[in-house]
Amino acid sequence: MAPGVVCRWSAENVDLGEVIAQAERMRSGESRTATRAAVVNLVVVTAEPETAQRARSAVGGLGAHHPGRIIIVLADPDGPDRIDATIELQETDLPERHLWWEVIDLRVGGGAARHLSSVVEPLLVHDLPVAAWHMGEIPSASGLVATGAHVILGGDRPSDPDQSSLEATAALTRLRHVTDLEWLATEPWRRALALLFDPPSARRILPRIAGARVAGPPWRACLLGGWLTDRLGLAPGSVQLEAVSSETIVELAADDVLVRAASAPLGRVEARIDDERAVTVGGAERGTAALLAAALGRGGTDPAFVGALGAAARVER
Amino acid sequence: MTTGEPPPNPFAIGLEMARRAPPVVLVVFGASGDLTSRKLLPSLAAVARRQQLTDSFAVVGVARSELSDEDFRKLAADAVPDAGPEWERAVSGFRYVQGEYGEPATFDRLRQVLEEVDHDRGTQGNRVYYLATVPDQFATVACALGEHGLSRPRKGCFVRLVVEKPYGRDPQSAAALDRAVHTSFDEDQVYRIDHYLGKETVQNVLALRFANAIFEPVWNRRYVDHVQLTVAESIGVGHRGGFYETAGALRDIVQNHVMQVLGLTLLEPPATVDAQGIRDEKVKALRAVEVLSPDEVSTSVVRGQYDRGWVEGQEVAGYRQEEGVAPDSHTETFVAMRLAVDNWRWAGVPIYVRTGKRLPKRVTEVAMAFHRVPHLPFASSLARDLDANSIVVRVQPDEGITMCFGAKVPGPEFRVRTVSMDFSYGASFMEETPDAYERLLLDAMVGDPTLFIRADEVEQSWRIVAPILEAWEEGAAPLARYESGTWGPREANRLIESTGRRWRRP
Ligand SMILES: NC(=O)c1ccc[n+]([C@@H]2O[C@H](COP(=O)([O-])OP(=O)(O)OC[C@H]3O[C@@H](n4cnc5c(N)ncnc54)[C@H](OP(=O)(O)O)[C@@H]3O)[C@@H](O)[C@H]2O)c1
Repeated sequence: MAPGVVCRWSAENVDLGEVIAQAERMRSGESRTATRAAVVNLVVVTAEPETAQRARSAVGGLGAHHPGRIIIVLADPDGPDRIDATIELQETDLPERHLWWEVIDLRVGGGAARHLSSVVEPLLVHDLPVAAWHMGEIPSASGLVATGAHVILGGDRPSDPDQSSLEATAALTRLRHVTDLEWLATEPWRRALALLFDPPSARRILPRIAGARVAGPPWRACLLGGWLTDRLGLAPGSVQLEAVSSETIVELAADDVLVRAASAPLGRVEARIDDERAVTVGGAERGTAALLAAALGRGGTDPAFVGALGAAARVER
Repeated sequence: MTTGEPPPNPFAIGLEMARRAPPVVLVVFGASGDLTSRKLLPSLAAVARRQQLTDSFAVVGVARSELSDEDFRKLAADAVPDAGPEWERAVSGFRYVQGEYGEPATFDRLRQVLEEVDHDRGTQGNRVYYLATVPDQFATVACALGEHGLSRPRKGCFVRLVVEKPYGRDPQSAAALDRAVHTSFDEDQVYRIDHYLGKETVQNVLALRFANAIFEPVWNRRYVDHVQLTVAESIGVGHRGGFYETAGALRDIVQNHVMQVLGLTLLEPPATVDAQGIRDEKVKALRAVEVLSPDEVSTSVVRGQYDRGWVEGQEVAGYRQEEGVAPDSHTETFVAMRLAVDNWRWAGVPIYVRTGKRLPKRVTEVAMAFHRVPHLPFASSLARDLDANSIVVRVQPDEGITMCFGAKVPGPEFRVRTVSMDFSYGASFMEETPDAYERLLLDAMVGDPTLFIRADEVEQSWRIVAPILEAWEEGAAPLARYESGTWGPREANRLIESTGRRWRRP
């Protein structure tokens, strides 16, 4: 067994009832040497085996922060009617305590894959909140699982943002509590600028800002551009976007000052006004697992995200 | 646009912006001391790291040691290695004033330095004075600040005074300190520290009681049989023997920490959880605690002192063998007592308190022990292992809440036994719990006095504790000895067992 795995059960072409019974047995059957803590049900739905694999490695680091039940569903609606399942009870070693949590891996084919909610719902731990993570494609309303679940997007997006993906995301925010990992990844830049402009004296510059430049990975740059357009009330098109795979840089230009937020050593973002005021914040190099952990702690759809999406979609148009 | 109100911060929406200190100078009296290096500076560095200090922040240290500004900055940097760029930036503006607190010249220099800092750092005349010095200097410093015109805020500014414990060593000295402090400061400028109130889990007592519909209805004499409050330490007095000789467990722990936790446990629901709501209700609760007569002190209070023994696998010396302790010392290192509360909610519910050093483990908890059910419909032989229900709020070290109740043991017989349901803070919230001092320093700078003690609370807790000290001086309750590593003297067991109850094993 892999390190951290306390026990494992696996079956092919199995009845879902058996999976449920087995999950319950593993949850309550082991002698109580560790705290079986649970704060969340996390469901990952994907059609791509590679994405499922990436999800598995991202959730590996989650146990300490958000122990709970993790259900990874690899759906193949066009395949034969069958369910294969693996359940692992995993342990996180923390100083002075051990926590246990479960990962349920399901490969669902045929009709059940077209009715995933019916597979997922009975496996959820009662009374705990549910988050559904769609790492790749943005789901349509009918592709959502688990009624009322918090929808987490991103982490393995197959394509760059365009008007239809931005509008599909905006549509989801009207249905569900949505958190986007790419949006969370931009937080250090947004926070650095928010802190930079926290003193009222610094804010006097803002009305003079006429344009901006954002360079960075496509989704991040697009969302930051939308955010600046929305928050500063800029005309569509006044933010210049540059898709680059390297570091993310935000520049705001007024007649006589330059504001710049860019990566600094030790995973930090430094924002400064000309060469005078500077602030730095951490968290610029969070990986998918850390962003996912942050997403699970979110209370509701971020209104700034909704504003940024709307502005970005208008720019795309 | 260069004049008029600037626009609100457009970038802050959607971000949880942490509370931030306004522009302020923190003036630390006792800047070269132990508390400053061990607690205040590391806590400030943590506050800085979380971006909760602005650039308009500085510390001005005041103490007797010969230090330059540079030496003090080095002291601050060394106290918190690897604290990060925010701390480095903050420390670069720290200043130091060398001087005796009894010398007016010290405060003349302080005034001058404060003006320079306001100019250099934009601290705008806002001050928080922190008395982290020896207690016999508290009054001297407070008066001198008034005499030098440093205690009253200029228009639109604030000036606050944070006072460390102990706040007096008896009611008279506490009142005298109040008088001295109030010559320079109004009561609403005074922030008396009890670091227990800065602990998350102490605040959680309020969340447990008032955020849940299922606990408050049973939090009273109808359901509660008695309350047990334990503050146990496994350590001895260490190198603080000299100090401890003048204090003892009653002054060091009961008068402040125990009374505060008790106040939060017993108080009526406040209309709002804010400074006035909470403190008013705490005072009312403490006011209802009965004062013990000298005779009652003999029967309801046990005082003990540790002998040698074994704690956590180590052999340890007795109190009288500790450095700085008199070989015939009568200072108590353990107190157990039974208190009564005279109000509608708690009448007839005994409150058992015990605290001590060199007990088997470090633990602080409040336990509500409920009445037994009026009738057990099982054969008594099958319910032998059944205790009364209890709810335990564990304050430290393993923070959480435990509920104990009866459940059927699986099998053909109807055997019931006590099981415990555990909520562990650590397993549900992975956030790092900030140190109590981080919370309290920030509160003092922001101006939130909820977790500080008001003068009338100090007065009330002395009202309860002073008669015990006086009765002891008259010879009530002889000093009982206990072996280190045990739960205190046998007399403490008798105190509770005489009423058919027993101490929990926390
Ligand atoms: N240490 C702790 O863990 C702790 C915990 C809780 C509460 N407290 C409370 O915090 C306060 C300070 O305790 P501590 O342990 O830090 O004490 P400490 O190490 O003895 O420090 C005392 C400080 O006060 C200065 N000082 C004393 N008398 C002075 C005078 N006449 N003029 C100018 N400066 C004077 C000393 O300056 P020089 O050394 O430069 O002479 C030193 O900086 C006490 O009220 C204590 O009860 C301490």
